[in-house]
Amino acid sequence: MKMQATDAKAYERSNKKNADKEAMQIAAQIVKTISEFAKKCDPIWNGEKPLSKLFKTNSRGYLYDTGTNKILGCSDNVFELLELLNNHAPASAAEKFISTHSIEAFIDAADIIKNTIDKENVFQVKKAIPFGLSKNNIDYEELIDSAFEILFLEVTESCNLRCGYCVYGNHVKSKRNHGERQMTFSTAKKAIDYLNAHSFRRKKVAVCFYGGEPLLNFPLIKSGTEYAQTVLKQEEIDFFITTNATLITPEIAAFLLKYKFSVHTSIDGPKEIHDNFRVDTYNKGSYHHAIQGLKLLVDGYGEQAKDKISLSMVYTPPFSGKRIARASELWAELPWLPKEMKLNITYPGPGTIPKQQLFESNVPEDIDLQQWAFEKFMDHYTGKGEFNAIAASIIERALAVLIQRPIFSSEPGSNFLNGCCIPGVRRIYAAADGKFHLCERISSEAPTIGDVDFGIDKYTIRKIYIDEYENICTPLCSSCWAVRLCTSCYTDAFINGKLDSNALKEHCLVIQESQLRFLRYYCSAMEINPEGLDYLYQYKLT
Amino acid sequence: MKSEKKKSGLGSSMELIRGGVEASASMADSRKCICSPGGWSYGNLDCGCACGCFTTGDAVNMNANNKLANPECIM
Repeated sequence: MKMQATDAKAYERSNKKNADKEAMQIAAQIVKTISEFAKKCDPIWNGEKPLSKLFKTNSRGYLYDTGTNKILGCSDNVFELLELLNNHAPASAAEKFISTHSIEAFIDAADIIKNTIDKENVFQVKKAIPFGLSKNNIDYEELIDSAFEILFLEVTESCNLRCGYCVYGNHVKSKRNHGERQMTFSTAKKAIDYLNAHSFRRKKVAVCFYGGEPLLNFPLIKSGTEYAQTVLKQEEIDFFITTNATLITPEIAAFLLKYKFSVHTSIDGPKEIHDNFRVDTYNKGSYHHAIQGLKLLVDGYGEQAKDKISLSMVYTPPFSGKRIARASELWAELPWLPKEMKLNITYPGPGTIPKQQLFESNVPEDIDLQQWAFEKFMDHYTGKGEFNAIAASIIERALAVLIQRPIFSSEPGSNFLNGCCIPGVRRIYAAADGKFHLCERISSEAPTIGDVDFGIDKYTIRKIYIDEYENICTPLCSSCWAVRLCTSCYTDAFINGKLDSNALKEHCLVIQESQLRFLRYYCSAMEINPEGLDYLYQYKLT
Repeated sequence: MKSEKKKSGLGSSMELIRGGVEASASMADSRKCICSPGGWSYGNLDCGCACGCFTTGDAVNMNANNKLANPECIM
């Protein structure tokens, strides 16, 4: 018995020794694994983190890598380890991961991450610099002189409507108000001459008529179009007009067709929705006249209508899924309206509708427009529902931007001004008084960039729109994961006529949230059918 | 070492998601704004300038492959 007890103790000691040895070996393995992992990952994750975004759909996790613009699907363990790396130094992230997973799971996930870094070149960018035009040696002054493309003519400040959400209403401080000024032919001629003299690198240019309601000054549209057609050297000249359609007559429709105008018309939906906010100076709804005008156009344009006529819709309160669905019934009510026509729909601009009215009118079934659109889009995408023009207009565009995004095999080393154009190159808005503004959307308090008599003011462009803007944006944008997807531009940047970093910051959050949502939508659609979005390669984003 | 609390489910993996257009590593490939003419797109939807347009050199090549957002863009 004594012998047996001694044997048992020896056996126990031996077992303990073996277990200790095994534990030590495992510990050594862990230390070695963590050390190897940290060695590879420290340059990337120790200290400042690489620009990227982790996000999840209902099914799985994804990584968006800013430097390469790539999206990668991640298994649960990889996603979790990447999340830890985003919040801790690599060694610490590894320890935390191992504390809740097996060492094998860690090695597996760590190997995948290390291999993906090598294979896809992800996680290489910590700061999106150099940022801006001047920092990237863009010779914008040369482009201003040679590659001007789209001239907007504000042919009148007047409008025959008083839409409740109009940004030119008297209550919107940052935009010009309805006025009485009419552009003269002399001013229009000078502006067109400016376009002609500064567009020789362009094979195609465009002249856009804007207002107020531009058709209140139809004689100028006529003479301006004829002059542009005669004087501009380009083989292709596109004409555009943005109109409420209420003043279109058979003669006007015939003229627009003759010069192949693209016509952007403002219709909010069926009568009761449209007439809610789109009223005339006597507060009377404008639906009847607008639809009459639109029909004249559609009939006149025939087959070309779906490509040449587009709708601009504003989603107005009371916000609800029912109201959007009702707006979508416009096509059912107007069977002659092409279903495939381009349209854009937005909420009313900030400050246009009194907050009280916005909030009071919210109803329990309120649904975010993007979310509603995605649900409708997915119904159609999965074959469960019918095509919805409004949903498609919102979702297809956003997903087309993502599917057509450039993929970089390595960091290109340059970042332009997020969503900005090059001032004075892509477009100029010539106001009725002949002053040049950056575009039709920018605050009227923002500094003008020249006029029809003296041309472009390069000094102001350089000082405010390039240098100052770059100085404000660089700290914000160079450390933003969404810098390559950003839509922000000068229109979001001015308060009381001055560039304002707080205004931009506020807008940054909206854009980041929006882009994150679109990434989720994109990946959700890909999960169902990876090739189902390929048709969006053909989507024209202009 | 604690026992594993979670199972990996799918196993560890990272795979590239379909989409995008291969761009070379030159400055000219970064995206830039090409606002659509005639369009008023102000509001909460951020549909302003998200054009995804490419630039000069590759624009021509990509157009040949029907992969370009805006074939007319020379900027």
